[in-house]
Amino acid sequence: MTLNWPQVWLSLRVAGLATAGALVIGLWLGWLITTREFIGRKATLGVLALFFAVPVVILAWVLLRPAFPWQAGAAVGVMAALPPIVLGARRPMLELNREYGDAARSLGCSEWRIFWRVMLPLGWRPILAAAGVGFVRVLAEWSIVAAL
Amino acid sequence: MTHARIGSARLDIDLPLPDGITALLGPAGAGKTATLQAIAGFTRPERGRILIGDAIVFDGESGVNLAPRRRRCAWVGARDALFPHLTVRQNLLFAADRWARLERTRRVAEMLERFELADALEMRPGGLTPARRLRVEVARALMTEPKVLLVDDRVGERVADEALLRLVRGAFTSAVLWVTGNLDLCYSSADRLALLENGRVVGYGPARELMEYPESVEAARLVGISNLYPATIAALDPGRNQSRLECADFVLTGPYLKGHFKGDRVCVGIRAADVRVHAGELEPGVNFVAVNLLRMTERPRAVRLEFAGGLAAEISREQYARQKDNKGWQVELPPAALRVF
Repeated sequence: MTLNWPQVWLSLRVAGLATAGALVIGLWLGWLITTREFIGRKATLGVLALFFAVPVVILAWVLLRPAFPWQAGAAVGVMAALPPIVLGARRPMLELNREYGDAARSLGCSEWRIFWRVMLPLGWRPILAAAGVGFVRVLAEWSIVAAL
Repeated sequence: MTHARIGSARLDIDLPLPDGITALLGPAGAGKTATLQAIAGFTRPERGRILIGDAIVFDGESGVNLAPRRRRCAWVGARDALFPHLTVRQNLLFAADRWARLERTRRVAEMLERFELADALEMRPGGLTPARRLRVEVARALMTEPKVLLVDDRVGERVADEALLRLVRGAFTSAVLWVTGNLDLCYSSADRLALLENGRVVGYGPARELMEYPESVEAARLVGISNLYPATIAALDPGRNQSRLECADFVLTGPYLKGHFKGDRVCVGIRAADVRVHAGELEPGVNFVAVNLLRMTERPRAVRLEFAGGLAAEISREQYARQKDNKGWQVELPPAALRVF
């Protein structure tokens, strides 16, 4: 069996771009859900869980048309990669926030600084693992979409 | 001057915090951590007002609620919160962000020196003992030049000691609120003591005075007076500076009770360490009570004897070795050691 390299390359590009996009949005969303009490917080988590349950194939089938460029596929992939990243990074963020967040805030740190100087250096492993799950999810399901 | 007046479902507190160390003492669930968190701004009380220095940082009526990072309130929590990926020096530098680089380095070096941490500056927190980690955390908290320092008791560890409080006193002259369960530390190092029970302040005042002369039964229990008996004032004699107190099982002679009347119901208390223990065959003196020994428990430097009727005494091991074969027991409750509430 020979691999269809252009398709593999396309799938990798879609999954890579989708994961990068989901990582940016997901970390911001995860941090927001962890540190702030706001109306719709639980609803956001519910929607994310719902997205987790919907296969990318269906998302792509609903949102994509053949005329759309591959970047549109990556946009759909962002939605697919977002739930594993947010839900995966939320728990370590919660624990780190509980352990170090209050101390850092009392030292006069902004949320931005806490995120970059404390959360990311201490929580990059589980975040990377969550990003890996997101990447594999998009890659696997995009490959099916591409094959259809 | 810091002042916290906090009201919520579980807290009803009015606590002035003048400059100096105020120890906050109370049983588990009394609201000690909740008080600290409300002052630091991590939880929002339902009502009340919190002043730190001259600034109102929380006011329930007007809706003022300053973010924790704007309160200038140093916080050292019950859990170790030194950043494990940074060295001791970097942890302190993290808190000194608002100064220029040279000034920052100078201040950090000064603080490390002051807290006797110069030998640990390139170490990670994981390599330090719990007591030194607490020391680093307090030093880091003070780097921000706060107006008040809040320190919670360490979970499961009694790592705060007199040396640390001495260093804090040398480095910081404003208000310190220190949660501790260590009575010895309160006595030796705190200027004031606040006693908390069920979310209420049941005692507040100069630490030594409050520990020697607690104002209420709850306060007495919290400062370690375990022998507490309801009594009725049977006689008052100001001329001889005496009073007679009738308890359920015995009658005691105490000092004259100013502000009380004959027939008043009061509570008499005495510390276990102040109770003197004698052999049963000795001629009874003032406030001698014949008792039956129920059990003996060993303490690090003493022996605790528990008698029938809920009376407890603490004596030295040597005294217990001499008296353990007593046929009967008598305890003496010295009038000067009695406290009446």
